[in-house]
Amino acid sequence: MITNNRTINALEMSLEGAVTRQKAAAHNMSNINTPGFKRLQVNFEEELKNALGGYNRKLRLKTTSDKHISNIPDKFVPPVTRDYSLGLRADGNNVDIDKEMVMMAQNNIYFDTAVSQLNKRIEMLKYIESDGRR
Amino acid sequence: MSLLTTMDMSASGLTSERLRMEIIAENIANIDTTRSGNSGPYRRKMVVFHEVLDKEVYRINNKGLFPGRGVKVTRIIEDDALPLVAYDPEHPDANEEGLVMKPNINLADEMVDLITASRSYSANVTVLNTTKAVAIKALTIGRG
Repeated sequence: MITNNRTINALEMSLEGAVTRQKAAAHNMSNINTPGFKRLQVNFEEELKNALGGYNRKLRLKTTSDKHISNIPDKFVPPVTRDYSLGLRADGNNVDIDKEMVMMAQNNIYFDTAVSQLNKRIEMLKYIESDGRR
Repeated sequence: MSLLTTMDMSASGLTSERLRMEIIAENIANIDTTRSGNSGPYRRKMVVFHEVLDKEVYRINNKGLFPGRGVKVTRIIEDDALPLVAYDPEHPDANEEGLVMKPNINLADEMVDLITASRSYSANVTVLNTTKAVAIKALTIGRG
């Protein structure tokens, strides 16, 4: 129970999503001068919600065995999509350097938050492990 | 570790922008060169940027795994624009009418391209530093 912790799993998935988003930022920024390039984007929040059984919690299929059908995805994959919007540039590239930088800064804070939460969680488990003694 | 491949992507951006800056430097250095390997004056060179995608990722599934691998310069091409013509009868390469074929380089264009390349280089450095910060933060997991 302690090792298969829902909170830790959720945080792990958030970290995975944030790392993939950082990848997208690096890819987009390196292609800032590639004519016709369309940016890659990672919107994993919805997928994360599904992976945690968010919207269909009430309609969750009860499973008591691995062989039962489950309507909750067992694996979380941050979805990578391409943004085909036109953008403002004449060369067909739709990378906006400011938007990209802001997104990256937000993502960095998101990652740091998730790591802090994870550390708190681990600290708590350690506290339990030591029987409440410090 | 996937953050290291992220750094490689930023590095590919840095390499490409640096190469672009080198080509611009070459163009500016040759702004008065009237003789080149192919007959006629030096011709302006340009880099061709190309997005790099991992084909394996597309083959397996196009969802989940991140397909992007940064950028690369696939070719260095010469500008087809006609050479500039200047009247300078004293020039050793002047024709009978006293006209000299000069390279098709516009200094203002080159300077603007140079600034773009320089700014893009900085942007890639910023991304690289953020990735580094993320990786270092990830190392603190479980230490707290």
